[in-house]
Amino acid sequence: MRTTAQDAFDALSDPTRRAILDFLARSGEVTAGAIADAVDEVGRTAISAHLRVLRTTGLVEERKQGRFRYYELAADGPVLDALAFLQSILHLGVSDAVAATTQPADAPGAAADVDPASARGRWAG
Amino acid sequence: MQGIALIADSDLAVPPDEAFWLFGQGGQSGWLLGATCDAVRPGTAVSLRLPAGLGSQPGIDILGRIGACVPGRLIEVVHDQPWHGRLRLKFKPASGGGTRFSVSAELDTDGLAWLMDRRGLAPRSGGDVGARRDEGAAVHRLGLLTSKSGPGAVFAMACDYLARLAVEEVNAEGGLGGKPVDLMVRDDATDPGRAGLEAGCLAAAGCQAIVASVTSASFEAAQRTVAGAGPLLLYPILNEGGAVGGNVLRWGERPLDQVRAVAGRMMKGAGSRHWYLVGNDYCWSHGAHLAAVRAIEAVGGQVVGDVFTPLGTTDFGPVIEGIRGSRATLVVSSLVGADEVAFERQAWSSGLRQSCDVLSLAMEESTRERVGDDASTGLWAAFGYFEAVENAANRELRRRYREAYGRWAPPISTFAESVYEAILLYAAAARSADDRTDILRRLQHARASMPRGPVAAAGPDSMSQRLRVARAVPGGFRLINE
Repeated sequence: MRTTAQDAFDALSDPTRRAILDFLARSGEVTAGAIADAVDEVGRTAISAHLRVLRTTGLVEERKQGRFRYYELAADGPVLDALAFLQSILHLGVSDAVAATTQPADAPGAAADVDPASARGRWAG
Repeated sequence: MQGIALIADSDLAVPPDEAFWLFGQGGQSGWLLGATCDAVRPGTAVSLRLPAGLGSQPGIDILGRIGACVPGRLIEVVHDQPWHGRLRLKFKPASGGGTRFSVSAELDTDGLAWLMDRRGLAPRSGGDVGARRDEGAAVHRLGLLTSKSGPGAVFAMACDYLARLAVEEVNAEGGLGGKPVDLMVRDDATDPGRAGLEAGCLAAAGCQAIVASVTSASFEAAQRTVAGAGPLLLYPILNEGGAVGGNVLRWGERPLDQVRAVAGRMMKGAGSRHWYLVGNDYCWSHGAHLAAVRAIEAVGGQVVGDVFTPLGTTDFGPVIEGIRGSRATLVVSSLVGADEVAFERQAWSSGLRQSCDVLSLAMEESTRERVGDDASTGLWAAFGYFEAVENAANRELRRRYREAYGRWAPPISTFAESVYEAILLYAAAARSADDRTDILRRLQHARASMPRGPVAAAGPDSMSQRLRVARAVPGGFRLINE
């Protein structure tokens, strides 16, 4: 499968698809029905179409079991890796901010004690 | 800007005003990826350092400027390297007197492609490039090999923007051979090994010609890759000169002319004849220093020191001590990009500049801006083009550039204008030529009037142009004898 940046960009340019990715990032593997319930701005048919786009661009992986289809973020997908890397940079930036504003001014460079849970990331449009 | 945005946020223990003013204090209590800027106000150049994790490069700088700021509430950084994007830092009052702080990053398709590529994930050989070669039949493809990362990212800031402007111009006039021109940009990471690979990548994608705005070490590597049967390779920016292969054109200003234009004047002004040469340890500086010695001795000067540091040097303390310990009060720096920025800033803060006059061979507008107003004011420069050149063609170029890329886009420099010029000269030759050999022949004798003024190619390895002398002033350069 070939994922060009353009394909990925097109896939990510849609707010519903970003909402689906956001939901998958928080929930792990779920069924199409659960996604439709969580991202309730469009109908189930539309959700299937969005999931197809996300699957063909390698952003989401599908697993069939019985009559259910399960979806999760493609952890090793190139696009998500690139974006996860950028996201990690932002977290680092936020941690820098937390460190700079909690350290005493006479102790520059002291290791920041940041609770990872306090710095959260999300998709935005 | 149409794009993807990612956000991270957190609570800070201090009030918004306090958090806001800590921005840009890199190296002390700095935060947000070691952001450094001389002032927190719109228009100020900003650098941030990306952590490791992007290929083999140790650290990559985000280079941009503050686009907007509302004290205590918002800082927006518009950046051009390594991709074109925007960072927004928002500060909101939170309960308990603290701050809700968020940082968002926006990027476009090119930015995403750059990141994927650098994470080693873009299917370059079989995927992207193959697909683009298929499209290649429908377009006239040109390649730009430039530096989006590494020390050269500083001087190559506006090169891809000016390349796009030239391509738009060619397409507005109907493209080439009935096909629209398509520009493919690749980042050499200021690394010759990578430059060779990327040049091969551009050739494989069906580029008819590749314009290079990279160091001469990278150009040499690209030349080895595409020598002979490959696409035309145009190297239009300042370089030390040298022989080229059959499909290669090597233009740009030459260090001999640069030093000749300024040396006598500097010696007279300083009442001194002793010079020190500082450069990066690769072919450009070695060639430039040979030329500098010739030009300096021709006017009765004497070179008393000549030092080379590896590209990527950040501490120029020993070099500065060397100059201080010599009799020299005149300096030629051939350092490039981030190295030149570091050297000039340190030469200023150490007090060396109070006793020395410096001619910088590669400090164009983008590099000057990062050296900063304080440390750059008074430095000498000699190029064929400065953004401040006043003529109708350059006024029109500046107007179109600002219209397309906005007021916070980096300044146009001689490197960027050379890229623009090369694409227009190539297009003019391609329009009237029958085949590639004919294009090459026409380019070897190309003449045109450009924003820098009249230019005339004299064979494959020389371009005649008028050199201008200038001194750095706050905000740019002041041309002398214009």
